[in-house]
Amino acid sequence: MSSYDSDKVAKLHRELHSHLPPEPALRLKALETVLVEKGFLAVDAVDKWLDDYSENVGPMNGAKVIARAWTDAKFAERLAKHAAAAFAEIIPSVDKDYPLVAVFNTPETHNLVVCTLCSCYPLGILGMSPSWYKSTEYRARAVRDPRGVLAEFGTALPDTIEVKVWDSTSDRRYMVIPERPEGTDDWSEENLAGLVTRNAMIGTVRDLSPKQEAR
Amino acid sequence: MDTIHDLGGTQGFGPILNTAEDDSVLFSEEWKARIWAVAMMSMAKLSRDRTGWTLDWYRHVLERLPPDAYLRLDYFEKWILAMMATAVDEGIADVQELSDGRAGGRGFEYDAPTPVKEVPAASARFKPGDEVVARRDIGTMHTRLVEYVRGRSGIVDSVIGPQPLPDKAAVGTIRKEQTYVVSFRMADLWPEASDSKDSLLIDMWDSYLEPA
Repeated sequence: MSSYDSDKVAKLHRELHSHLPPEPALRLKALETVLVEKGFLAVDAVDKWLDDYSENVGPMNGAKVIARAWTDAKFAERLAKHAAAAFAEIIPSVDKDYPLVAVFNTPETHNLVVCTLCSCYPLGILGMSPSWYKSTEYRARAVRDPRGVLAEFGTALPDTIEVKVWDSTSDRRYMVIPERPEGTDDWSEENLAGLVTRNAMIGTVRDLSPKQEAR
Repeated sequence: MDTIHDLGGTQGFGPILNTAEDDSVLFSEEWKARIWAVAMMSMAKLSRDRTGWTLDWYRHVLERLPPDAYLRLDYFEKWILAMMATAVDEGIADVQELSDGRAGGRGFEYDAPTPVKEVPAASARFKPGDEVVARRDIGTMHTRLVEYVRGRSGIVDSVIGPQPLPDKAAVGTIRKEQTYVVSFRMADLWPEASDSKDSLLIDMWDSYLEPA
């Protein structure tokens, strides 16, 4: 059972951290081996789980949805109202009840997502977050110096654009819908999806204009 | 508890590293992918087996890492320690077995499972546009009321819907409360942001707020 005993787990951390070999790969091996030998996890379950995960989730899901939103205004409205249901229209494996919210960049506003308390992210749809998103530097700084953080990603914003920082602390998850770049009017949805990056869906990158050679 | 994990606004951190990672690589090393899978499957099983485990309790387990380790270890290294502590806490394995990397015997028995209790939802007190103040103090073991908004005034931006209060879920009781997006002016949060027109939006439970 869960003890809900805060001091007990703090003591366990100290014991485990001092008894275990320092290499994380060895620690993981020990944990996985013990859980499988105990019968808590099935043999080969980890490999199977990872195969499923890499097939069904990842940043490409978000890129496809954003490309559709750029080309279909009605779809963009549905995405704004009920993001997970709109995702499920395009990616059937997405759970319609996933507590996801899409926040849209406009010419006047820029959205930036962070989780200062841990690293909340729409993992079940967009896959694992980038390592910088989980870093102490980003978690500490994004809510206090968003423009300084954005500059480190090469995103310089004039004062006329308001920055909205979303600190994601509940069960709800956020993703940013960037603006469609200029000069892409005749682009196919597939090519548009190719412009969308993971960083843009978190909001550290704003401008997705294609490079010349991408035409 | 106000532990090391509540990082928002803490100053003195350096530049953000590796800002241009390859989007197609979800895990940079095999062990990171594997601890992720082990954790996701373990959490699902503990929920199914109704041991009383909750995600908020797990978050608190992570928060009780020694502060120096919390800051120094890689994200996934923290998860290995937290999953090991969870395995011991639930009665699945002991410290010796995890140190040895092999089970002392087959099978395990949870130590008297106590499923989470559901209690009636709290009523909602606020609506969009209301001016609110985040509570100055909170004495619970685990909370999502970040330090940097405490005592500050903001505006209810929108209503999210009822969600279990993390402070109670972390000790095995599900009590739903209305949650809101609350908007704070950066100028009201940080002394150096007095001229800023930017804003900070954060998810807040009803009991984290007081009328202004």
